[in-house]
Amino acid sequence: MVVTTRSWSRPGARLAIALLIGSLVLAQIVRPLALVVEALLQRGAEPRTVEVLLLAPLAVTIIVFLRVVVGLDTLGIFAPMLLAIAFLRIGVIEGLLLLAVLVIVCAPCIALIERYRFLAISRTGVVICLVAVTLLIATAVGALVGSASLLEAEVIPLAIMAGVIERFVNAQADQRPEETAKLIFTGVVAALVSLVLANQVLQRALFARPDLLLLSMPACLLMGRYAGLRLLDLLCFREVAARAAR
Amino acid sequence: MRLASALRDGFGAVLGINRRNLEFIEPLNPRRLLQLAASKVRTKELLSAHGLPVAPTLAVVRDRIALRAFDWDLPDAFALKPGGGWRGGGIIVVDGRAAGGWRSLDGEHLPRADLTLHVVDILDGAFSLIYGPDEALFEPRLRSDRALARFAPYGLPDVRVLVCAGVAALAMLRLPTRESHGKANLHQGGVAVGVDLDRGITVHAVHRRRASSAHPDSGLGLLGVELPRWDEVRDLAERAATVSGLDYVGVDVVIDDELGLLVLELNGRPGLDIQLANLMGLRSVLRDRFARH
Repeated sequence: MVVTTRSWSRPGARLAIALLIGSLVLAQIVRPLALVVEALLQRGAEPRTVEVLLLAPLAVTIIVFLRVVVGLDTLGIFAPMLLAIAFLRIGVIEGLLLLAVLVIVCAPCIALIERYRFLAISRTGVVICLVAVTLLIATAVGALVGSASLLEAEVIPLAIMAGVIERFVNAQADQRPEETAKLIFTGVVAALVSLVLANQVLQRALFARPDLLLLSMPACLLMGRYAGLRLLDLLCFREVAARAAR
Repeated sequence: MRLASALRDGFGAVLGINRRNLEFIEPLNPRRLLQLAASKVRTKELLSAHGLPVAPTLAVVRDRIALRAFDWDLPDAFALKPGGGWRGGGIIVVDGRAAGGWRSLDGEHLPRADLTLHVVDILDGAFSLIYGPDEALFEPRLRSDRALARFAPYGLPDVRVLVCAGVAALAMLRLPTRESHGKANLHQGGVAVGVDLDRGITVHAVHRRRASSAHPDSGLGLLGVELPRWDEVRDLAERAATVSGLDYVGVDVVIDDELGLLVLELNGRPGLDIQLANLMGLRSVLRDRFARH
């Protein structure tokens, strides 16, 4: 058995680089996606849907980077991705605030229920109901206060918020506090990704050259062969490293 | 550059999660065997078929029909576990009988209806990694060997030995605390104590990822302690790892007061905190070990 010293393992990297070159060729020369997007918009496709589909690969690539290289472990990949898109619509501050409100509402209610024994699945049902009610009230309050942005929120990201809260609350109930960190990271990652996606220069570039999103596939694969330490690992294991360096 | 080489030597000794997954778990642990190790029931069957000591099984409830037929003929103290559970989730330890049912170690009153609900949760996969159907396992309540129980008066301590290609690489003693509700799980507040592999003596202790020198509940010193029957523990872990077919595996061993050494479970994706407990990097350990072999 060989304990290697390289940070980038070789065999898969070749496939990733091949895909990278292929994507660049497609993006520069053939440009299939540009044609597709144009055709879609001409035929009356909802621009917001097209926007989401174009931004999603970039969002996922950033999330993979934050996970593999930086070390921010989130509650899955879909949650931060769809939350980021929701934050794009309703605003990052509003979104994080909403998540916080949901936690503050749901956690004590579930703690109360947990004093008695019910099936775990009924707990999930209660959480989803609480989330729906809280979101209705929060949207109404937001509209009253003059912040119409919450009205912009779409169903799927809100459903994702419900899922995130449900998982977090279940983890607390089952006494798995380590999931709290994952929840916080999920919010942080969603906020970071949303800030990047909101950049107008980036959006214009993507809409002008939609084929660029093909690059996210080789990017993800390349990161998938990164065997080095993550930034958070450097922090976490610094004492071990200090001892080893002596 | 002295700083650069110090950084490289220092952090080069640490095994991070990316390398663990890419260069150890993926090539060394076949998926089929990982699934076997994830099932406590199948693991126990495999190990005992090879003559290795495991915790006795009182009963296994595999589905709702079996649950309906279950006679609940159990001793006064027992443990109810999800067969596919991970990180100690979903385990209820029952301490004795109480009106209409039992009393848990935490002091919670558990009438039979409540325990039945918990079994249903287990069967529905509430505690299994994949949220898929699972089986419920009843085991007798284990009591720790007296030497170890001194340190952790609450709960069942265990020894996690990380075995690579059949040879022990690092080991740590995991002590439950009141904070961790009697679970040895480090994330929930258990204490991890690194153990010198040759001498079986504790060398370093960590609680909540910070260095510690005494157990938070008993106040007893954690360093320089000699573990009972250490050679047997290490040997058992290595044999269990070999039997499992996994070449990178964490073996959890307990020393029961009556039953002696038992393999509690196998972990095909063992965590990296064992490096914190020993203040030693796995990558350098494995490099040295395999340079020799």
